[in-house]
Amino acid sequence: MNSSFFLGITTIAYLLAMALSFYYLFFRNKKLGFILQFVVIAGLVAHTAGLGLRWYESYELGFGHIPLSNMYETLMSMSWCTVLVYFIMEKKYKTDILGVFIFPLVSLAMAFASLSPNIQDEIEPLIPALQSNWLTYHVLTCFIAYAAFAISFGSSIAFLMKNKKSKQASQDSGGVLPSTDVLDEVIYKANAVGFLLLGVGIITGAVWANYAWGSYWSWDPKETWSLITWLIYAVFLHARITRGWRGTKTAVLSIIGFCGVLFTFLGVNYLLSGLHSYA
Amino acid sequence: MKNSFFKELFSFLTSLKLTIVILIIIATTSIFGTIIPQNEAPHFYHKFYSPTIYTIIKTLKLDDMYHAWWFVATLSLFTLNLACCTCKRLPGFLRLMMQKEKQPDEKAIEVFPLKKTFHIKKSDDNTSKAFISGVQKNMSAPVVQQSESGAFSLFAEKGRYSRLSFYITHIGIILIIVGGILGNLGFQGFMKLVEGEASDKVVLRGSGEHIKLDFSIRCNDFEATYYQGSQRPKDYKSSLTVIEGGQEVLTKVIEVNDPLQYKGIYIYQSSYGTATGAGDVLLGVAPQSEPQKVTKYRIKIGEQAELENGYAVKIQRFVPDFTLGQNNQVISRSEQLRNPAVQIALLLDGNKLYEKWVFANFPDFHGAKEGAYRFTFEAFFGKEYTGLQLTRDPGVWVVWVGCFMLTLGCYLMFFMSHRRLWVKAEPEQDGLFVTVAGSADKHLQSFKGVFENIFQELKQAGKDK
Repeated sequence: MNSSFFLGITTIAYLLAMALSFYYLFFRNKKLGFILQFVVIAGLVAHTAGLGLRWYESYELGFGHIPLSNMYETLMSMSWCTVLVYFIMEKKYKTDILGVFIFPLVSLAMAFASLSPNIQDEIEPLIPALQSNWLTYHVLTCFIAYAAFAISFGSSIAFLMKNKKSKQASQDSGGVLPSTDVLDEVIYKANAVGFLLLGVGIITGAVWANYAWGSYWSWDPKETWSLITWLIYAVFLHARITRGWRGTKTAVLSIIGFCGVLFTFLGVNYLLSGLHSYA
Repeated sequence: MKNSFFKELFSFLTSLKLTIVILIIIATTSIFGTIIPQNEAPHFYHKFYSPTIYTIIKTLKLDDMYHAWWFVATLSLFTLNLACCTCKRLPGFLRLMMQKEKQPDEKAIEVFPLKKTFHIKKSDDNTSKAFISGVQKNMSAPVVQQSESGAFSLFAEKGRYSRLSFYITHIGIILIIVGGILGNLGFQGFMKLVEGEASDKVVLRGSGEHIKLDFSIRCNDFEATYYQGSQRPKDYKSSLTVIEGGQEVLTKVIEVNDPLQYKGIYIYQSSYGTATGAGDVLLGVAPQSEPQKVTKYRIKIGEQAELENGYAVKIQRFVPDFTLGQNNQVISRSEQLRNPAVQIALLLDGNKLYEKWVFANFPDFHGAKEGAYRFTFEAFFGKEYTGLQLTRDPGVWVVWVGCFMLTLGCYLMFFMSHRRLWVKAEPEQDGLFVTVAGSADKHLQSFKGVFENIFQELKQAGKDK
């Protein structure tokens, strides 16, 4: 049993969690909720084991680095952060139904990492630029931020659905979603956490770039896009805190923000070129 | 008239609408700079864009947009907006910070959003003590006011400093921008040093001008290592010595992620390559009729070796990474020894018979089998150069302080709040009538739970009597 085995199991568990979440959305019953809960925990455990084992395997090969060095590893770790943040939010706000939005994203990311012919899943040694402790600080803060933004994205879509449903005043799936107040609170909290951590991620990246290349900011596409994303969420926070925007408008802003996250994370790598060419 | 103009200007500069509009402008215009490659030579843009688009790019300076006047102007307006907002809020903030531990007056308490009351049957001196300890568990030590009639009130607060979050965050951002501007007083440049050589000349980035340092740097050795059995680089290391006034001041081995610092100048490992102008080539020469009979000659680039019968071979040129460029002329794709090749000329009594390229990686290349001799490129003894980036940035510490403040400010803003709690106990016929009121400047929802706990605790304390 190697790391790929566990990560394979994880992908299956998340696909199952996705299916169960959708089923749960329409036929809410306790038993189903319990099974979903079990599948999510099993997936998270396998995921943790898979990443831990991959880390260990990299030591066996004599390289020894945290699994954050290429596209395959970053997608796997990013998914782990997302599920972990989802799990914590779910425990805190009882928003298990958000799995409907989170698990498709996560399963897609993991399946893409495993199946795309352009993504190498071999463990490779670190190139000189990445040989630094800043790698861990920088990437982990960014990923937890991305995960929080994914939660807020899911909540925003749920908010818009719920809002539409409650206007029609019908008794269907809209009723299963958490109340708009809870969703609004989750969107705000997740964006606040994400904003703070993305800020820290950009700063740790700047400190690292200054140490490795002698320049803390060079308007590289990755840097610029992370700043653009951060600014979108800054607009969200100002609109909400100072101007008191609530509901649909802020939900739409969060969705735009998440498009920025996706472009920063994936779009820049596949569509633009720059210094930040590892992942 | 004049006064109202300034008032209007100030209210424009402090409006949140302006902030949001500027943030959106910065975010959307920044996209151009990520799509259009920045700071390339004109022919690069001609290759990818039509003349019309190139004119637009040039006019709006989209090829260096983050330094274009309109982008800098937007950033300046943003800074002004931040500074004005900070000033505007200052008086109210100072008033709040000045009133140390002062309890708000009854009117202010009237509008506290959380309010609950309860009744105690019996009370004695210990009641107020029990209340104080109940409040203290969650808040600061309360200020107690007691009157002779037996009435008393408690006022406690928590997280007053979190009101600073607005200033800390925004002053942090202003500092980052100021630090960035201060950075222009420094320089960023490049230096190429062949092993064993020393220099004090730096080629500035952008302008290409040279500046002289007041010390020089010598490269003692450069080494590139690769992971076993692969082309993947493991480490680039340069051993550098700083020489000042003829004295060796310090020596350090630098590598990527570990620069050398001297007199406020940071020296980074940036690139490397093979010095192509100098070095020795080990050339194998065998008569075409007896290819096994190889004689090896070590020849300097540009010089020649005598063979027998009046023949001589000259090393005309060396390239570390042979490839054919436009119009089929020979160029080096990189400065690494990936496809080393030499151009040799065969001479007879001083007259050139022919010239050809000999490859280290392809000894059986078709050209090798022609002519009187068969040449093989056995080895290259050259020197490597190390590419150093040199930076002096007097604003970098201002930027770091700003970053720290921004992070701290955001943390206080999102996760802390200024909470205030007020308890008033008034004697009634048979006991005390207690009012508990609370407020928080943000996150009232999460204070509700704490407030409820305190309320229950006080109620319990009253019952225990």
